[in-house]
Amino acid sequence: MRHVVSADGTEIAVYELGDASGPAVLLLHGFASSTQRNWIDAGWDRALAEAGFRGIGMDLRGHGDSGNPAGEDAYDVTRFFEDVDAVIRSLNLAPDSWLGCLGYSMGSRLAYRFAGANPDVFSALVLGGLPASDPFEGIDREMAVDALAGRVEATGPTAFVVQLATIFPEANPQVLLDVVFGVSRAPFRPGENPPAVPMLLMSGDKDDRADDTESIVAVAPDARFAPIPGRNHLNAITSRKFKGGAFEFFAEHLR
Amino acid sequence: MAERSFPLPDLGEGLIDATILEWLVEPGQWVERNTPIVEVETTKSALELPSPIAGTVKTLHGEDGDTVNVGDPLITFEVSDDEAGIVGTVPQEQKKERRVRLSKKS
Repeated sequence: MRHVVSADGTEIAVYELGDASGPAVLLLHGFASSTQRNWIDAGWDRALAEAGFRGIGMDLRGHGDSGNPAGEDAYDVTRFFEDVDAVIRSLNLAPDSWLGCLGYSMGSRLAYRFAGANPDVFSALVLGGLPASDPFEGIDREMAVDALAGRVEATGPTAFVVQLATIFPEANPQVLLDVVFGVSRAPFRPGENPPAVPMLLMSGDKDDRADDTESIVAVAPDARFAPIPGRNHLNAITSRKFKGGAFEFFAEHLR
Repeated sequence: MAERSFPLPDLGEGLIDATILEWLVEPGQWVERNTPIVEVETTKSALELPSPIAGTVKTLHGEDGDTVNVGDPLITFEVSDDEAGIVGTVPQEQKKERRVRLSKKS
């Protein structure tokens, strides 16, 4: 693991996975997770190596071994874009190199928006567990803060955010709330500036957090959808169908 | 041939059990060390567990959807008798080695 310094000085943890000689795929994990949890523990390091891809995992700011600046200003989508940019630049890829991006949940939203705004960076996207709407919209901050302090029981979408923010001992729940409110200042709208590159969308067919993923196909120029059988939002990440589908798609769009 | 069993490892964070999402191997199958053998789900996350040894799968202790306690048997392999010395907690191989070494010295 190494660190890359982003535009605002935040250090971003970067991990080399898979087969170093293969085509590169940037991996963007989900909210409250990390490269370790979302990809390595779920078996993607081995799977990437077997499929012959080089995986570049980055811990999103506020997560894992990356810096976690205070305040929601630090988690505006623009800051995440700068992080992705800094990591990609650090790879020193040849100008015409193929580069894929694999995301999950919040990482998929980031990949989608980044690829829409930067059309020449990624050649293909595989986005797991991506809801068509922004799950952070309508989060009640007061309720979330009170729930973290143990004063109330959170309900509705706020309950899910609080559950995720407190799920892993290494995470800082207050920072994760800043992430939620920072990134959702500009709510995710898949119809606004969708990526033009080939995109495979995959969600568990039992994923009640992303049960409308397929509707994104209609608003993106080159997207298709494939369900991950029998899986929900939290357990789809290990699925062989997810891994196999992702590698097949990347291989198909390698050029 | 001898058998070697492995329990569900401690997954940390005070987790006491895990649910089998999907077996990736089946009885009779030869697996190399580090081959993914099973996907499990805890209350926090999903993980893929690699095989700790090379061997032929003998028994899967539980079916997809079953819950296994940390420390309870997860999988049993058939291994060659050469490797059988490291079965369980009896350090048979070590004992033999020590005897050999002792006899050499005397």
